[in-house]
Amino acid sequence: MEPAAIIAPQRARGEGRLVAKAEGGRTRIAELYQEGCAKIRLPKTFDASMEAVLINSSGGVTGGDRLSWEFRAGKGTKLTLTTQACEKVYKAAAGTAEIATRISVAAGAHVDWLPQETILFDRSALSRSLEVDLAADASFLAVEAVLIGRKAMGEEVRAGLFRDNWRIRSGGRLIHAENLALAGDIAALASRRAVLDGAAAFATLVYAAPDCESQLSKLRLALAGHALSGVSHYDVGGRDKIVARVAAADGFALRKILIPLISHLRKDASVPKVWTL
Amino acid sequence: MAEHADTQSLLRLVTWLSPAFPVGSFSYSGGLEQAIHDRLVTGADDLRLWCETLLDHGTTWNDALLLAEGYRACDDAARLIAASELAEALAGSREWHMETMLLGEAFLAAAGHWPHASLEFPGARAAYPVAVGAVAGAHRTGLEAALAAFLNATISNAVSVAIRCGVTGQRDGVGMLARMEKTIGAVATRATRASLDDLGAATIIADIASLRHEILHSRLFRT
Repeated sequence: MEPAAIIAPQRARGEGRLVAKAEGGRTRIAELYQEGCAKIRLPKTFDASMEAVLINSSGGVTGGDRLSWEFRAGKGTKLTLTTQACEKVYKAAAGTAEIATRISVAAGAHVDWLPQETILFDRSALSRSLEVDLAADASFLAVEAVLIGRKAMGEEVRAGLFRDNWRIRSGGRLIHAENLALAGDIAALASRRAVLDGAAAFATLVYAAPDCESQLSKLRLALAGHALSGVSHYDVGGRDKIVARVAAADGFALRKILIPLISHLRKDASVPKVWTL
Repeated sequence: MAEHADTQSLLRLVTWLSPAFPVGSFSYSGGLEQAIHDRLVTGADDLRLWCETLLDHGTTWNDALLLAEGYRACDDAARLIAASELAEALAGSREWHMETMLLGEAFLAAAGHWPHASLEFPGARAAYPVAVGAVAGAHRTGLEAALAAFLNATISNAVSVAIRCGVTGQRDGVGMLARMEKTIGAVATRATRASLDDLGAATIIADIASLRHEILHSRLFRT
C-alpha cells in the first residue's frame, strides 16, 4: 500500500443551492443543485412546508475548505433548513476554512435557519458568513449554536480562530448584524467574565416576523430560570425583531434551553427531527 | 497626522466628550449596571478587566472602528448613512440600540454649535460613534486624538457608573483611569490602522447583561 504521507492534503469544496416555490398549496422544489461535498436531502414532510437537511459529506471542515450554500424561498413558501449533524471544525494545518450561506425569503414566505451546533476543536480556523435578504413581509428565524470543544469528551480548545458575520436585510435595509470574533488563546478569552465567564457553549437567536411583540413574554418566561440568557424585542429600520442570547456550560445544557424556544417560535411544531436530545 | 492635536482641536474634543456635554451619557451604563447586579463586576480590578475586554474584544472596539469610519467618511453622505445603519444593526439589545441612537441624536444637536456646511445626517439621526467620528472628521481634529478622547470618555463613564453603584470608590476609580491610559492609547492607535473589516466582538456575557438589564427591577441607569 502507498504511504499516506505522500498524498497532498485534500481541500474540500462544496456548493449547494435550493430554490423553493409554492405550488398546489405546498412548498416544492424549483431548483436543486449540489456539487462536491455539499449535499441536500429533502425528507418527506406531513404539512405544506419543506424541510431541507444539509450535509457536508467530507465529515467536518478544516483549513482551506470552502463551502457555499444558497437558498431561495419563493413567494408564500415555508422552508426549514437544518443540518444532518453538528459541524465539526478540526485542527487546521494551514489556512482558514470558509463557509458562506445566502438565504433570500420572498413575500409571504418564511424560513427557519436551524443548523445543529458548530463544534470548534483545538487550533481550528473558520470564517463564516450568513447573508439574509427578506422581502418586506417575509419572516425569518435563525438560531446558531457554537460549542468550544466538547467538555464531556475531555477535548480542550486552547487556540483557534472563529469569525461569524451575519447581515440580515429587510426590503434592502440592514436590520441585524453580528460580527463574532474568537481569536488567539480562545481558552483564556472564554474564561473572561465579559466573554463567556468559563461557559463552553453559546447561541444567538434572531427572529424577524410581524408577531415579535406577542412572542416576547413567552420567550422571557422560557428563559426565566437561566441566568446566562437574555432576550429583547426592538425595531431597527422600521422592522421588528427579537434577539436572544444564551450561554451554557456545555452543548447538552444549551440544547435543553434552545429547544423550547425554537418550538415556541415554530408555533409549537417540534424542532427538526435530526435535532434529538 | 500631527502627533499632538492642536489647541483648538484639543478644546473641542475635551468639550464634545466631556460628561457635561448635553448628551446625557451619565444616564447610560451599557449593561454595566446589570453586570454589577449579577456580581460579574465587584470591584476596581474586575471593572478594569471588564473594560479592557470590551476594548480589545468587544463592543468598545467595534465603536472605535465605527467612529474611524465616520471620521473618514465625513464628506460622503452615503457612506456615513451606511456606517450608521451598520452600527444600528450591530446594537445587540433594545437598550444598546436606544443608547447609541439617543446619544448620537443628542450629540449631533449639541455639536450644531460648531457648524459645518457639509455635515448632514438624514433626520439628524446617527449612531453615537459614527456621529462623533463624522463631526470630528468634519473639523479635522485628528482621528487618533478623537478615538483616544472617545475611548477615554467611555471608560470614564464606566468608572462613574461603578462609583454610583458602590463597587468602587473615587480614588480607585481614578487610579484605574491612570492604569488604563496605555491600553486606551494602544487601542486608539490600532483603530486608526483598521477598517470595518476588523469589526469583531467576543463579549457574549456583556451582550447578555445588556439584554437582561431591561427587566432589572430597581435601576439607576437607562441601559
